[in-house]
Amino acid sequence: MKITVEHSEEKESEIILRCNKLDEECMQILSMLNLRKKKIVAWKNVDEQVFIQPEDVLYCESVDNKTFVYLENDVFESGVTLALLDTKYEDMGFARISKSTVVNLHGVKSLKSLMGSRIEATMKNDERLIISRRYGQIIREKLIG
Amino acid sequence: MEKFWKLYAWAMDIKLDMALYSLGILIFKGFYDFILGKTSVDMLHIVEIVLLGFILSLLQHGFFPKNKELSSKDLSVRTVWWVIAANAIVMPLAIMFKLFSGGELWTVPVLICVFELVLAAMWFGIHVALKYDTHCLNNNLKAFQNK
Repeated sequence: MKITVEHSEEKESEIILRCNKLDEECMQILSMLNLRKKKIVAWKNVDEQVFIQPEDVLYCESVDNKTFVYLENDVFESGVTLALLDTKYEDMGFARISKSTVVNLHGVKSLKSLMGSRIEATMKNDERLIISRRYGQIIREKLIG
Repeated sequence: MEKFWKLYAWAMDIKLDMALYSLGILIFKGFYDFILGKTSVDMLHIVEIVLLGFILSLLQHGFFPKNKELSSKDLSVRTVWWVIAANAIVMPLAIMFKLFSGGELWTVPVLICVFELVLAAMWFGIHVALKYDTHCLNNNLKAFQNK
């Protein structure tokens, strides 16, 4: 991809993404840019992208190096990595619960303590996720504040 | 596929409890044998102990399903049946496998008491300690969400 930086007299900076088609690389760039606006760029197919409000997200999962964003009744793919979601949206309640999952704590309906210091999280859509022992302690501390 | 994941998750839980039970019995067996002057545990006995751990774990998950909320009456009834089933299955098997043989007569009531204590400790862990922790977790979650 060719990167060009032009200097202009305009006060507001502008980014134009000129591409033949919106491929995965372009989607990732858009995702990065939209992180500044706190919205998550996601898609079901690359021609149809959506901007998701972080508060609508229940959890995000990484499968085969792809990130999937789970809403109450829908699933989208996103170019944002879990590490970025975890750090960028931390103040909005996002937290890592396993190597492959980041959960929005505001989307959790209830928690259940399990043997082996694990925690089971029931999401608002009644899906159940397991918080591993490693991240369980971090979640506990986060909840206490 | 969904059934496979459910079965896999169930098996993981069973294995975790099986490991706990097996390790507990193995440590106790080692201690018991040490008192009798033995400093090793037979491989066959270890396999039998793992089998006992598996049975105890199956019984626990059968009587107290993880995702089922039990009323206090239901919990009491299941607890009684769980204790009866655990005693009725595990004790004859332990005798059959000769896991605790060679001791004096007084060791029999001691062994029975230890086994009942193990069951009581497990019950306390599942139904008191974990429930209290769950209660605290949910209180903290609600406080976090209302911030």
